[in-house]
Amino acid sequence: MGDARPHRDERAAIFLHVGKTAGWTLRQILYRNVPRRQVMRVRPPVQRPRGFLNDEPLRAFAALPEAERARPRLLVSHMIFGIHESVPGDSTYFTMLREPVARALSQYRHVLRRPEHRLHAAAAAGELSLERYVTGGVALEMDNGQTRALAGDIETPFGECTPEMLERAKRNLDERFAVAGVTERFDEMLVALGREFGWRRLYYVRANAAPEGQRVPVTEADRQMIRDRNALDCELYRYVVQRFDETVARDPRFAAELRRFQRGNRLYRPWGRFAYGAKQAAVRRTRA
Amino acid sequence: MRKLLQALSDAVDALDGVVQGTIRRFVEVTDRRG
Repeated sequence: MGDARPHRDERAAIFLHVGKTAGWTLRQILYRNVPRRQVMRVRPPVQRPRGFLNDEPLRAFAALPEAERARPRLLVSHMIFGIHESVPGDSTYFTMLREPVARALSQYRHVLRRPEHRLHAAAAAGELSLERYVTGGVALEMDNGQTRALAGDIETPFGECTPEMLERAKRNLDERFAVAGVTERFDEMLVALGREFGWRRLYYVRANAAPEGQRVPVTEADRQMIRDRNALDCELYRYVVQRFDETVARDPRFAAELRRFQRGNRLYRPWGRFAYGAKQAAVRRTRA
Repeated sequence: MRKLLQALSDAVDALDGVVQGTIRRFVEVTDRRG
């Protein structure tokens, strides 16, 4: 965030960070574009029985003095919809969804990879198969987690999501989200954010991606099981893609800007890999 | 040590801003010349 220019937008930009959507990479990009003093990361609890579906950040933020709540121009958290109600002044959301099957598989790999995850021991011991993880009710985020996040709903029990929740998520998107993109079109998402918020330091290298060696064997039946359990998320994903397509089509300069961005990013990559590696090494040594 | 590493990290970050700006302008200029 060294030379980030002051955020020129009067609105507070709220990043609703849905888990396993490349949001970590996006966050690193955002931090370069908004000065540190204008960024607030509302940390979710260390133990997260509901994964990224947290309402604790909403309560923690609401409890801050008004002057503190008015400070950030960029608010970031793994949280559900609703924090805007505590933001003094104008605000708008942005978020990134991911194709539900890919997201669920990525989430399961995350559990297998992270010893500190509450379900890791069971998964690593073979007691928590992909099927049980997705359908067994052990992880709320496996039951239309993206719809829940955008609808602001963590109260509905596992397996009891309703079409009304999907409609609420769509309504929130239409009324409160300046940009909603998808992981599969990450570059376009960045260009859209740049055009919406005036952010310019958008070149990047991928960060925090799962190592290739940790892929889980998946059958078509597994994929269908995930789709069945996440039918609302599948519909929400289609809705966001369609909405994004319409936004792009309305902007006559978007295609040229995307082309320039991708060309620039290819030139940036060698430096970006070096800079990212150097920063990660510094962070590791600082923590050691 | 911690301060030094933070300073190095900030320096890399600042340099990254310069690199990004330079590439962006280069791409814009060459794109206009087409």
